[in-house]
Amino acid sequence: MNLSYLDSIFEPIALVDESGKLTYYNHYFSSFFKASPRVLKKIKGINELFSGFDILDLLSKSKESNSIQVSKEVLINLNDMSEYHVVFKIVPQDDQQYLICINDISIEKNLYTKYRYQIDELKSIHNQIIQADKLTTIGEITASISHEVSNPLTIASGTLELLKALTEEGDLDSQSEMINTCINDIDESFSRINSIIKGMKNFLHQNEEDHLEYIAIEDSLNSALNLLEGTIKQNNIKVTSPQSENSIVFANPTKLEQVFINLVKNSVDALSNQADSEIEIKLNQTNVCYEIDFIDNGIGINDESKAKIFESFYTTKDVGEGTGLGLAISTKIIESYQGSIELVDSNKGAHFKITIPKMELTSVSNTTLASGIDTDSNFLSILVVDNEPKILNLLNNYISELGHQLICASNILEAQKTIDNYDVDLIITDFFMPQGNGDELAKAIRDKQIETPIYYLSAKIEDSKLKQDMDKFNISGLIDKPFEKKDIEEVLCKVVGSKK
Amino acid sequence: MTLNLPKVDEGNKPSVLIVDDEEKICLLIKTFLTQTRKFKNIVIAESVSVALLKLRNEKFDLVIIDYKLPDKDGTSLVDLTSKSLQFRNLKYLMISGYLDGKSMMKVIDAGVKEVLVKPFTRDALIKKVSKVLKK
Repeated sequence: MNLSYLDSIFEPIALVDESGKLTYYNHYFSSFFKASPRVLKKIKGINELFSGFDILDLLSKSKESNSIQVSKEVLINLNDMSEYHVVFKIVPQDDQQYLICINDISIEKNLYTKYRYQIDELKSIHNQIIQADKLTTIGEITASISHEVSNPLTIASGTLELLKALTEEGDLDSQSEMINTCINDIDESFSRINSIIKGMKNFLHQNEEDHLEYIAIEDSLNSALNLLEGTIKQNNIKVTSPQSENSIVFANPTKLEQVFINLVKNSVDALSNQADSEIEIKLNQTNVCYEIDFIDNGIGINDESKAKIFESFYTTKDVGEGTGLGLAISTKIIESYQGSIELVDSNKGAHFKITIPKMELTSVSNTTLASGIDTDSNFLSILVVDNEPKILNLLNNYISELGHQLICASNILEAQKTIDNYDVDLIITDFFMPQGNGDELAKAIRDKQIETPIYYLSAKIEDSKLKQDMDKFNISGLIDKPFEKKDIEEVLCKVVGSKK
Repeated sequence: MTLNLPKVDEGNKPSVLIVDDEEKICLLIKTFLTQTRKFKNIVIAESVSVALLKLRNEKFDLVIIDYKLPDKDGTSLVDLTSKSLQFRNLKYLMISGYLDGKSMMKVIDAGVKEVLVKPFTRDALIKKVSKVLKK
């Protein structure tokens, strides 16, 4: 081997014998370890030059297997205590010698840490901006909120005075009906105030991390509209929103609400000086997505603005009235759920379309990402079919705490599609669902010769029906509602056992 | 608390029109005023347009009106009636949960002299009412 080539390489390289004693080192080796040739000649093995990694162990591995060995990224300390991030590579040579290459990645590692830190900082700034936008929105609708609060407050405090006067008169028996009415009025007023304040608090609640859960789009939309109710009434706007149905997505409830509030509020602002104003909100679905349309009959958006509305700090409102962040933030939020917001061309008014993937798609993509890492035989992928977000969230918590993966479907059609495309180890299905009951799903699955264990999830199913389906479709059992974590754990243990 | 109105016989007691879209608030005000036994007629309206109809049908001395109403804001009624000879003796009391500087200017411009902020107490209401009627 011509060692003179190695001398010209800018990387520490050495040759050692079986015991780790240096037989050759290149120029850069001695300058990397800050050791003079005299020192290098004196040492017994290469391991004396640094601490933090057992190089002799790697050497013996290479010797035993007679193969190239590469270490992980390690942090070593040289004798002057300076730190380096390095990777070792040992290549066995013909003459019982071993070539040791050292790759110094300290610079890259430091840059990585630095950028990592900066990205964290950016993330926290981004969160602060989102919070600031929420505060601005609340600020803008405070006037109407305080009006909303003052009405029930007036009723409560006034009725209380009436009640006081009644009790002072003393003749309570003859007034009992009146007193009851008063108490009901006060009660109702306070719950009205409570719901207004609660809506505001939920909206302003600052999420430290982006907590995702299963939510119905309609619910999120309704709480957004409740918060804006005062503003909408004040401007005499007619709002039509979709019928209540459970269109479930996997998202952060506060953030989704923020997007809806931003869009509705934009429309309200555009409609403020206009008669017969209307906002129409439509909810449609395609195979994989939900589409939410926000259509108003306001002045619309001019061509110059069209290109810029999604940019940060672009606003057509007067100074002090808008931050110009609403749409930019909404876009960020929706994009983080693999969705999109677009402006649809229309003749009159503004028309925004939000597209959000259905939860089936989201949970499958989450699962495939994660299952690549975990190939444990105790690991189950579980399909849950239910149309109630609360149940899905509960099961999601339990199942992920137990270390398994959950795929969700909101009806039996989605469930069948999921089963066609993915292997699951267990199916838990609600029995009573609007688009078809659990037994129909069980029949469809067994018809396809799929023998995955199926559990029903219901409180109301009759014993005889359960017994019949257990025979007919080989149903494994029933999880009674309400259930606890240990009930789920039991079922999962059984399935893990039978899988082995 | 008693209402310090000039001594008048039964026929000359003042009549009041209460305009608020919240029915319970109207009833509350009506109850408070009825208890004083100093009023002849107490009528309720839920919007500006209904209030205008009632004003044309009957003679009133005082209008208690909310600032925020479903059809128009309360000042628009005051704007209309204060220009008319027929209603030149009509007095106004504006009630509101929230008034910013801009809307306050509008209220004053319309010719309203007294404003009552929600939530109010029975005493505060009666004090304001008697103050307005004495002017």
